[in-house]
Amino acid sequence: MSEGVQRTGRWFGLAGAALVAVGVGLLARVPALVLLGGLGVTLGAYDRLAVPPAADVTVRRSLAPTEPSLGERVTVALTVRNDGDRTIPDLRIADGVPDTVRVVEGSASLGTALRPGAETTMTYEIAGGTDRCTFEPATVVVRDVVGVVARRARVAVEPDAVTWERPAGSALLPLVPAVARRPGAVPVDEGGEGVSFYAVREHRSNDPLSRVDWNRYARTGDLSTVEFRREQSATVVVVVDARAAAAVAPRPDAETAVERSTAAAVALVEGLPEDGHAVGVAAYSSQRAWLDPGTTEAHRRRARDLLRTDRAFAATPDGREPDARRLLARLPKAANVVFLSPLCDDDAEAFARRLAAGGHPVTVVSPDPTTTDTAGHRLARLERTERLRRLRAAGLAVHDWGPDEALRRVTERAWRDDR
Amino acid sequence: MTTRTGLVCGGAAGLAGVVTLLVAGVGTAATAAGVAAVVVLGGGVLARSGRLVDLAGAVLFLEVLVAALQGASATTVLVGGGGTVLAWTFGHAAVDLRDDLGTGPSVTVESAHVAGTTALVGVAVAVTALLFRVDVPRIPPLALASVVLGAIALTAALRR
Repeated sequence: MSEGVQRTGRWFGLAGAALVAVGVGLLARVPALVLLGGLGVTLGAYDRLAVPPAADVTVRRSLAPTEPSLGERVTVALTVRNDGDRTIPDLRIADGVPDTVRVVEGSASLGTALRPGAETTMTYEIAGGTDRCTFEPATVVVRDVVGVVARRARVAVEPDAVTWERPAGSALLPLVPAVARRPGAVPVDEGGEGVSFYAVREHRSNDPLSRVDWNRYARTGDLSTVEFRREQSATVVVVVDARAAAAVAPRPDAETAVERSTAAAVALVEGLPEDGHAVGVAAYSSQRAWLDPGTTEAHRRRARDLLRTDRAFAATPDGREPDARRLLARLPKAANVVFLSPLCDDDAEAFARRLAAGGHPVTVVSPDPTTTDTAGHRLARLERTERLRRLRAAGLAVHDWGPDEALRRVTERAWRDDR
Repeated sequence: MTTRTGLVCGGAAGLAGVVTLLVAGVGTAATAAGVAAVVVLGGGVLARSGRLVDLAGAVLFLEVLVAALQGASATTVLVGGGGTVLAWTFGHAAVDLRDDLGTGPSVTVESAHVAGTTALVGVAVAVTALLFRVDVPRIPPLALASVVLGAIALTAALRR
């Protein structure tokens, strides 16, 4: 615990007022004003002599749940106890909430008065953490009853960290067919090796016997070869719209679209490689963040770390525009792009169109941050709906993600629609 | 979550300001100053402006000075002075608490502050008034002023 005592200056000027009262009283021959000066002197003496109570307190913190999953709220209870033998008439405590989380319910600070041995607890909820978040020491300020002098202390409190675990489940989206590369799970409009029927063609001498259509041979005597729909692995880049304009939420305590998009990106980074896809990560933000596509476990870890810690995904307003041209130039040729954006402005729609125009199969997953409580909000919802419609009409796969909908429901719907 | 942080102190500041206005408002000028002070005090607390609270305290003090010059009794002046200090202190406390705690709960600390400060200032006013009434040989006003000025110099030298 580190401590420091300082005078607050709350009664600064009291001695000057007393002097004025005495001076005017003398000049005007009014004893009552000289007496008023005496009152000022008495209170001024208190101002000079007061000492703050000792910050003899213990602080405990409890977290629930102790191992939250990504996106889950954590309830923090901070209990402060007066271990001294004097009443603390003015005790203010502020918990050292990590910079990377938000207080969504309650307040992380408290003012109270505590008798010896008494304790009080404040409770608040935090959200938005994506990894291990460490609390700073709590700041405790104790003052005398008037508040003319304060003692400030920093108190380390255990437990001092909370770790949001990786998402409960990974997510897998049906991807838009692209050019053939490696055998895998994305169906392409091309015959070859696979499991589902594609076409029957004339037999060639080097065709494997297993693919000869023997039924037709028995019926007609002609040799023909069955072709199956080829399936391939894709190169996928998950692009998160992390501009400040995308950091919008339906309620003040709700997750922003950027936070939902980042959580979905983490889930996709977990899920897509399980189907053999190479996944990369990028931020559509004024700050650059890029990870080349890859499939290994180490690569997935790097992608998760990037999404959870890079400032590019923090939606910091800095007045700069994202460098869309640079991002487009960096995308591998014909790479599938999963664009996570609330589509709340025309810029996001234009970027999605530029992705598609660049020859990239584009899947848009759009967390919906709109509400209908005011006319302006209803208009914003209509505009967003229209953007989604226009992108669908342009051939992009667009999945609308409702405010209280789980990502799993969106992916299930996407797979159902894909069939 | 409470959004009433500073409400108790702000209310106490307004009450102390009104009491000072009523006690020291012995003439038109004093009453006008008191009304202006209470309005500024309310604005300062609502706008969380320490400067406005200081201004309100200064105008309340001016009201007490004017009342004394218009012939108010020593008790009236002392009670008005105590009310001025309370209004000024509570106003600052309301602003400080909002700044320090945001919307955090604070009713307990505010109640303790109001009670403790009122007791301290009340005792100071009572002791000063009693001293004035002690039947000691008449002290010339200049001598009394010299004692007070000496006390001011002494307190200014304390802990510095």
